[in-house]
Order: sequence, then C-alpha cells, then structure tokens
Amino acid sequence: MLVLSASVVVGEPLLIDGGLVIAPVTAGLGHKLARRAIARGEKVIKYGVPIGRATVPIARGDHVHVHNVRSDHTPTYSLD
Amino acid sequence: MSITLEATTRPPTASTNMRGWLRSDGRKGVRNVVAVAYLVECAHHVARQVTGAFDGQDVHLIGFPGCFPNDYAQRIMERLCTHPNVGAVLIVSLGCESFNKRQLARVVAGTGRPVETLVIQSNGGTRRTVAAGRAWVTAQLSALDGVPTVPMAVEDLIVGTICGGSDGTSGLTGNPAAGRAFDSLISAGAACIFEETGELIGCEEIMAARAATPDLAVLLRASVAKAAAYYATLGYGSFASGNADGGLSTIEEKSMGAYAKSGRSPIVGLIKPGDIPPRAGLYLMDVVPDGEVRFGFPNISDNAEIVELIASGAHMVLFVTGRGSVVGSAISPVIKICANPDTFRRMEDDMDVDAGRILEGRGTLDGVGAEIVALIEAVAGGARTKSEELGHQEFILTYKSFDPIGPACLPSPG
Repeated sequence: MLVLSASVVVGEPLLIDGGLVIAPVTAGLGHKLARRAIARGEKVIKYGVPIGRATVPIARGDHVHVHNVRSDHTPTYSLD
Repeated sequence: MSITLEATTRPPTASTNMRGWLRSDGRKGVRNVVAVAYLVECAHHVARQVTGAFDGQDVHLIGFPGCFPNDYAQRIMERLCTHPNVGAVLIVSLGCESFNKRQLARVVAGTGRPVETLVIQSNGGTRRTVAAGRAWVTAQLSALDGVPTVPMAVEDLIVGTICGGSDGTSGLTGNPAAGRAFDSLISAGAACIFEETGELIGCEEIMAARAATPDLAVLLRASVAKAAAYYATLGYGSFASGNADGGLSTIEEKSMGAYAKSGRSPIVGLIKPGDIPPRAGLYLMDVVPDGEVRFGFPNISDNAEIVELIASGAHMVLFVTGRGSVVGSAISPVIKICANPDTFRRMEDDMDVDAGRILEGRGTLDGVGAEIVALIEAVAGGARTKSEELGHQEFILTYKSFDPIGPACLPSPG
C-alpha cells in the first residue's frame, strides 16, 4: 500500500516503483493507492499487517478505500 | 492544606522550569484550578453561571448529567475533584438528584482542599445560588493565588495520549511522534497512559508481545477482544465519517495508526478509568465497560476519553489530530499535535505542534518527539497551550460500569 503524502488530481501521472500509473481519482493527502494488484478476498496490507480485505479485484495504482476494502471487524461508516 | 516544604513561586530545577502545587497525597499539580462541579443536568445552568463570571481564569466547569446513581461516575468525579491540578472544589447540587454529594464533599475535604456544597433547592433558587457560588469562588481564587509552588521533575508527571479526528496522516506523523515523546518521558521516569481499546482492534498480538509479564499479555489481548465484541454489538466501530474522508478505510487501519502513539516501551500495566498508575512506565487504559452492553457507546466523543485520562491522574494530555480537532479540556491542559500539514496551515491557531511537516521533509519523528517533550516541560512550567489560551474547557461524563482490575493488571516490577 502506498500513502499519498500530497494530494493528487485525477489523470495526473505518478511513478510507482519506477512504473508509470495514471492517478485514478482526485484524492487527498493520507489516501492510499495499491502498490500491486490485489485479488478479491485477499488481505490488504499496510504497516505490515492486514487492515481489511479486498471486496473487488484491485489493480496496481487503484485508489484503495471504502469502496473496495472492508474491515474484518466492524463495518466502516462514511457519509456519501 | 498544611504544606511545610520550602517553596518559591518559580524555582529553578536542573534542566527545566517545571513546578507544581504540592498536594497532601504527595502528587504535584501543574495548575491550581477551582473546579465547579454540578451533580445533575438540572444544576448545570447554575454552575455555568458561576464559572461564567471568571472567564480567562482557572475556574473550570465539570459535572455529571444523570439523576440516577452510577458508581463509575461517582468515582470519576471523586478522582477529578482530588486531581493534583485542582486546588478547591465548589459542588452545585439541585438537591433531589441521586449523586452522593456528601461522599464527594467528604473525599475532597479529606485531602485538605477547600470544598463547599451549594444546594439550589435549599439556597433560594438560581439567583441566590449563583451569587453565593461566585462569592465562594472569588474567595478561593485569592487564597489560591498565594499558594507557593515546588520544583517538579519528569518523574512527577503522568501524561495521557489520545487521537481524534484522525486521518491517513495520523499514523504516519503525529501518533509515532507522540510515541517517541512517550518513550523519552518513560525513560526519564514518567508514567504514560494510552487508551481506547476499541481503536486497538487488530493490534492485540503485537501489543501483547510488549507486556511486562505473560499474565498481563493475556489481559491486554482480552481487553481488545472485549472492545471488539462490545462495538460489534453496537454495530459501529470507533470510526467516524471524517476518518474515511481523510483516507482511513477500516477500523484496523485506524487502529494501527492509533497504536503508534504508545511508542516502543514495555507495557507495565492495564488500568481502568480512575486507576492511577502506581509507578513509572507505560499503561494501557481499558475504556470499554465490563459486562453486558449497557448505557450505549463506551465513549461518545473524544472528550469523554480525555476526562478518563485526567481522572487517572494525567497532568496533561497529548491529542493527535489529522482532520483538525479544536478541543481542550477542563482540569488538565491538552497539547494538540497536528499530523496533517494542510490542516496545520488551515488551523494553526488551534495547534501546538506541527507534526505534519515530517511528510513534507521539514522534520523527523525524533525531532518532533523532542519538541513535544520540551513543550510538556514548558506547560508544566506554566506555559499555556493553544486550547487553554482559547478558553477550551470541554467536559463529558456519562454512565458506565466497570469491574475492578485484578492484581495481574499491575505486576510488581522486576
């Protein structure tokens, strides 16, 4: 998992481990992008530990957030 | 109070200007607050009218809204009214509520602190009680003015930490920087408390590995399991909508960030709200009630946790925020550490520490950790935090129920 240390705008070119990725969304500081592809149901790893599970296949460079990850404990509450 | 130590108003110490007011139990306070405590919501307005006359002074409003008795609330109020930062206590009762005001007054008087109970129903109502309360507080303030301070060292300090309004930056900058500060304080002999077992879900194994004894490790794991079950019953984690806006996706992710506040020291004890750490070291506070789910969410907002840290003797509380909380607290100063550099720029007036600069290459975790320690020492020397300057004195106390901790929670050192 990669954490944005500054905001990105959708369409902006980004380098992930030397490879080009186009920012899939406009996202703020602190949001996450996938460093590698993650299969549906696979654990999502950050800080070296699982922080939840992918609910859909996630491609490298995708925005990783409440739309494609769920907690293994309690559901995440967010406003639209 | 009968204090016969040699004392000056601003004594120098070896390395810091920390000084405190010595209390009869040997603890030292970094503030000398007059606490005005209402014992039921029906007495809240009168108590607020009393404190409202002392804007900008250390006259703080605390209280409990419920009319039904609650052992936890009684205990927390007793701890707060005998907190080392408190010099005198005015109790404001309606008269018919169930809170045990006589016991509270006895406990406070037993410490040598001035205490007065005003019962609105026997004192002629709102106007007369407000006038009597203001007169009493005025007299206490002038008496407290003359009380000398004594030198204070890091070993005298209890510091709590909490995070609130967290986002994806909290676990990268502010929380680990607070953890570095904790490690430094603990190695210098302070007691430090981290908390919110509901925000340690997923961290239980790595946390248990830091326990001072195997029995304590079992208890640390059990405290998180209890929190997970409690929140599962309620249907919500300790997770707010703004956490997701700030990039946090799950409670596990938020937990890992929050856990970083604890630093790397061994965990020497597990306490519950109102238990005072008996010696130096790092303590986990179990804030989730025992038994079946009753009375609702464990802590309905951040200030409920801050109050519990203070009830366990915290002289001050480190508050790490990413989204930008503005709160302070009654009784003890709150030091706000801003994890997000954009938030810091937007809300600098409310923030004591700019930890977000680490993300922009303008600082390091060790550097910000050292800045936090220096700030703690300055605040213990009388410097005001941003929230104190702004007059923040938030306070919440609600119903809970706890079983007492067992001996394995506080193993003997060595």
